[in-house]
Amino acid sequence: MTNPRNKMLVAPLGTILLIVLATVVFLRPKIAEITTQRESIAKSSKNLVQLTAKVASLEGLDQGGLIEKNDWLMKVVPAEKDVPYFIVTLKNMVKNYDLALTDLAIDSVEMSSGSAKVAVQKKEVISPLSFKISIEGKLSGIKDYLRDVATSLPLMSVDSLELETLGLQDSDTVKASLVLKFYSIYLPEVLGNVDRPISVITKDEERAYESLTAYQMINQSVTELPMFQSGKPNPFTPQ
Amino acid sequence: MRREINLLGEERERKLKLTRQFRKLQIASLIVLGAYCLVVMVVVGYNYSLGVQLKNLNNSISARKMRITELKKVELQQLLLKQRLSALEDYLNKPAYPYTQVIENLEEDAQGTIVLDRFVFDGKGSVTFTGKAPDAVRLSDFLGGLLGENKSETVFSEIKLAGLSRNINGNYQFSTEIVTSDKSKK
Repeated sequence: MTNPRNKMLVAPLGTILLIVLATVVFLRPKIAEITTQRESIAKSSKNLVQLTAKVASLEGLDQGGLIEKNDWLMKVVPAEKDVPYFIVTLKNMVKNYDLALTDLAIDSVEMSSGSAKVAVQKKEVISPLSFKISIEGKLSGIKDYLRDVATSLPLMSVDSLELETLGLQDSDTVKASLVLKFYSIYLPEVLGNVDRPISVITKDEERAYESLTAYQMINQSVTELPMFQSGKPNPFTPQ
Repeated sequence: MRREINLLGEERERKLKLTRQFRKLQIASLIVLGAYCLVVMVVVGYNYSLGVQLKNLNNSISARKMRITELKKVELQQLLLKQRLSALEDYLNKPAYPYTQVIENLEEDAQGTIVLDRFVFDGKGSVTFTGKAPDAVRLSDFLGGLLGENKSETVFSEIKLAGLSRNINGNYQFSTEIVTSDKSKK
């Protein structure tokens, strides 16, 4: 360092070295952090907008009204294969049309919870349960019954039908053997992810609800389930 | 008058020039260093402000999420309603099979002269029925009626006479299979 020219270069060279070193060690990571933070801010801002919209939508919903609608829809399509409820419906409906229920059989495979699981896996939301029934009565009663099945609640449909009669006169007794399907909708397995936007009820779905309200609810009055005796009668039962 | 002779003038000038250059370089280095520090400060400041902004955003997000959790029951009800209505909408869009209409059409075509005694609806749009006709003319009138003769429209798209036999007393026993126009069914 005896050469004054070399002494002169110490300051600028030191400055450059300091700048390079500080840039590599400090400034560059900071700039990278800024980039990451900017990306995070953009993402968070978007998320916040969505969440704010969701909160606004949820606050705008009428919880009482929703509970009322869901309770009613649970009667229209139960959450599980509610066999007693379906049997009561069958009994009430047959009674309403002055018909006699002479036979009733349920598909045990469809009734099992195993088939229910398969239905969920296949994403078939509506799962049917078939009842094979036989009814007897006047033809006019059976015709009314068949007509009203399509517009009665809980939701049901006639899958196949066999009619036996001596003639198509109203006075004749007609025997109808039919497969009646009742439907159930399982509760969703995954509920309410916070980040997911709220499911909006479409106009078509609202129309579906409105059209269902025009249907006739069969189980307005509570009817007792039919009692079947099995095994030997209890001798100690008071007569 | 005294006359001075500066023997070191040239050397001194050179040294002075070098010192001036050295100072200039030092000042320039300091200015550059100062500017760099300023840039660093701006970067650090901006980074800090972004950090604060992100923290505020995350706080707001947490608050919203908490509110959504509070409103979970409402969301659950809405989700249930949506699931049920979308499934029911699909179901309701499928028309129900017109059992009563088919029976009434057959009843109308029978006109009280044909006795229909057994119907089998297979659930896929096909109906098989058996009956008795007093004579061949009435039977052909009945089948013509099913085919849509003297009618603007008919619900049956295909009619097949599956079996026909004549009794000793002249009555006809027949079996017919018909397919309704609208095969769509729930």
